[in-house]
Amino acid sequence: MVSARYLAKRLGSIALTVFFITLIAFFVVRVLPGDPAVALLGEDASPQELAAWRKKLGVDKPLMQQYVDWLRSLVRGDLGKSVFTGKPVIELLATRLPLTALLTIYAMALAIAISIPLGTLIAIRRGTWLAVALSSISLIGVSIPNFWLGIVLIMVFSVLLRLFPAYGFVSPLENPLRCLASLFLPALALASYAIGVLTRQVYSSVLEALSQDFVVAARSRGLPERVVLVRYVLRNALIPAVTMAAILVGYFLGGSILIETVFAIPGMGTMLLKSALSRDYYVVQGFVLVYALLFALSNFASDLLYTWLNPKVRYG
Amino acid sequence: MGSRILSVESLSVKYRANPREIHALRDVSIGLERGSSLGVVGGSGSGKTTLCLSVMRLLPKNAVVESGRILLDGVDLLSLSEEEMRSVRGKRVSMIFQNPHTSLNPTATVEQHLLEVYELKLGMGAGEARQSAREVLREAGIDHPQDVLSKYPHQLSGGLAQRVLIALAIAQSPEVLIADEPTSALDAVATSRITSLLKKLCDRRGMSLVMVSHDLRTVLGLVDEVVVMLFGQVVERAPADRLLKRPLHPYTKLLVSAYRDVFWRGVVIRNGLPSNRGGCVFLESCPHPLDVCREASPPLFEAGCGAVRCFAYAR
Amino acid sequence: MLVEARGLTKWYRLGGGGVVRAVDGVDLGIARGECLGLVGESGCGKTTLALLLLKLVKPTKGSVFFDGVELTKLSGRRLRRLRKRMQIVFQDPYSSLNPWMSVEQLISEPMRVHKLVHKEEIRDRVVELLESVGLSDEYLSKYPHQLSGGERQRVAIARALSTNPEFLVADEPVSNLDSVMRAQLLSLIDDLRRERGVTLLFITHDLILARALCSRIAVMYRGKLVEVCETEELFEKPLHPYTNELINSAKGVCEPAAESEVVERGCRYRPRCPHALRICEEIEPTLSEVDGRMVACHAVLT
Repeated sequence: MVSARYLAKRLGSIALTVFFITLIAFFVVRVLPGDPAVALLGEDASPQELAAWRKKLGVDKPLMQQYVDWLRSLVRGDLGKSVFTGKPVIELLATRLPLTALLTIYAMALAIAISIPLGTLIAIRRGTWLAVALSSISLIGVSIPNFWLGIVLIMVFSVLLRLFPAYGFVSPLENPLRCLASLFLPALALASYAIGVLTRQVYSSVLEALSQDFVVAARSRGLPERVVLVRYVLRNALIPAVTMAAILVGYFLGGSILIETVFAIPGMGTMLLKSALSRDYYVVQGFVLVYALLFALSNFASDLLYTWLNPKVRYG
Repeated sequence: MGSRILSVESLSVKYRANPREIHALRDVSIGLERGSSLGVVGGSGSGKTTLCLSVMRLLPKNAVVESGRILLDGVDLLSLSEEEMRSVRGKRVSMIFQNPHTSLNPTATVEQHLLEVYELKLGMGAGEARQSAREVLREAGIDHPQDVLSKYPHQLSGGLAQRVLIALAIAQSPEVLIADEPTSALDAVATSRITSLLKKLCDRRGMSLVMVSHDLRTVLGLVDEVVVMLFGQVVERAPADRLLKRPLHPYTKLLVSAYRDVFWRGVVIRNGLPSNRGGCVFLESCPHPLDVCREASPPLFEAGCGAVRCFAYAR
Repeated sequence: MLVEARGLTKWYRLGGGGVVRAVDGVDLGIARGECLGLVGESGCGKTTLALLLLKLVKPTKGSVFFDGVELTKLSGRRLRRLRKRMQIVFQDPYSSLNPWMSVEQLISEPMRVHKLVHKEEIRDRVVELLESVGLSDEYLSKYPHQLSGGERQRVAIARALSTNPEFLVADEPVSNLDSVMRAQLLSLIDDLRRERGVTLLFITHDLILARALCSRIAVMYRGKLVEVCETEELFEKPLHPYTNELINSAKGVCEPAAESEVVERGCRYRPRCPHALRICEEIEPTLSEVDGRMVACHAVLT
């Protein structure tokens, strides 16, 4: 059983992680050459003008002062404002986060829907040509960079076959079905690595489960093969796979930045990239922090999921 | 004596393992009378488990049955289809295993294990299945089934887990129960309890028993006849009392002395197949080898109400 | 006494907040040169007790003395110096030997760690040890997976003996072996013990094995010693009902009794006990002397 002590310990460690991330998020953007004033006024603005804008934007204060100010407002739940548009970062998040979340969940659903049957099939038909072919395909998924795969998918499915739209994102509020269609290629590109990893995980754990004593014992009672496969093999084999899927959510967050850019999806990733280029400090800091938090939470969820699925841990 | 319920005739099984093949069973024959019990005794690697799995037709994929027949009540199990075999397993022949913990599904409760058998194999409704699950656990010596039903395998002691496995094995009222080292993972107290439980169950249900063990101690007192196996061959077959009083094969003598005294100072017996080809498998460890033992592998000779694979008893 | 435990206790905290009293207040002395059998069913805390005696786990309470030195207070170099004087052979010969090391490396490692033998002499010493456990020098370059269970256990014994220990713990060393190998290995352990004058703690669930090997037997039940006695006396007249149950089950006369639950209060053995009294429900009996024998049972004490 998960004890309150364990939960407190884990949440404490997440809080500590987030604190370190604030340090990194804050100082790394500031180490980059250039600042918001330069980005705003251009390279040939006069020093007086630049200084005036810096004062206005609050980036003329000592670094530590700026950091402490930012932390203070964070505690109050205020992520600051965009230097350029003046919009609160929290508002930007509210418009961008749902889309990135949708893309991530979509990719995860695809990854699970493809890799579980695929991995199981390869394990059961081990040694046949089919299994060898399928497992080589899954290896491709692991080794190809997803943004490159994204471009290839656009060229094949959109430009050549005209099956899916290349660009032109459709909001789910406007038309849910067309939204899913427009997100299909990006989700697939994002999921490619996870499909490869998960397929191999499912394959090896199904293979291991198949050789367990309890599978032979179940067969010795004359149970139908379908029951043996689902209740004995898969139920045990999927515990590590599902756990790994939750960890991969964190990976998807990172991957989505590139994928959103390649497919021109107005999610968190495109915004983060744009803000980083224009040195929009508070947006970058806020977004990086949210990414980090989601990443830590997905790891935490993975551990909880493992505990919940595994009776051995649940009833220690 | 009644009719033969199970007989294995000249069974040879090999495993394809790179780079060579391993002959796990060579020309093995055993017979089990209806309502009686047979002990199969041999060291590790003697082919006991392969024999059990052959009868259940649950050998691993790399195993090949080269020759022989396995007759259950006159029907050759090797000729049945997989579907027909599935209705034999559990219903007519059941098996229990050495390690009760790894033989139960770690993600299912005891009740789920039992209900599945009653509902899927015997077609019972949920209520009837629940009732039968409680009864069969009681029959397996678990006095308070409700305490056990909701538990997961890892929450059970070794003895309790083995009782659950026994309950699962007898749930479909099989005619034959194959017990593959059911006590070697258990401690002394649990061992004696499980063996006496098996004896009681067989007497009450008229079930025939094949009891496999590496230790004469767990077999004697439980079975009528004993078959001794070594390197995939049957080296001796005899009624239990005769085997203990007058073992014939030198390997059986070794087993009996290991049974009588805890200590045994003598030749070290190696695992794995002996190096000599063609001769007797026990040649390297035999105290009194004959010349002929080097050249030929001995056949089974009739001797002392049984048979022995040793040239010393040739007629 | 070479080894002495006083009030030795080890509790394990469970994830859900419960506590397992693996070893619960054990007093036990092992005389130099003695062979003591520690007998009990699986899960009774035998192994934990052994690990505590060697300070391989830290006790919750209590202390261990080795040759008069309080082991539980030592650490660092002084502890390491004592370590070579005590060794253990584990039950499972498959997991207790590092699969990446050859037999020669396995046996010589303790000598190298404790710097006991000159480099040039190590090989001779390893061969000597191998021969003493009945294996020839052709085993030097083999790896654990190439050995049978019995051979692995022989290697584990040779490794344990490589530091010339005074105290050896053998934790169910033969439980995973078939009957013939078991008999051979037991005689080997017995011979080595006599030749080298090693003090042996032999842990087993099988009273028959303890009887053959040991001069004195301590019976353990759910974390407590319930009877400690000379072997022959124990078999002639077992005092504790649990000892009696063990002897009967070893003889094969045993009713298929049900498994019993854990009790919160009173005597731990009560749910299984045929002679339970009222007092047994309330007060836990302690190991006390009766006619020169040590037993923890109200029915015997009254």
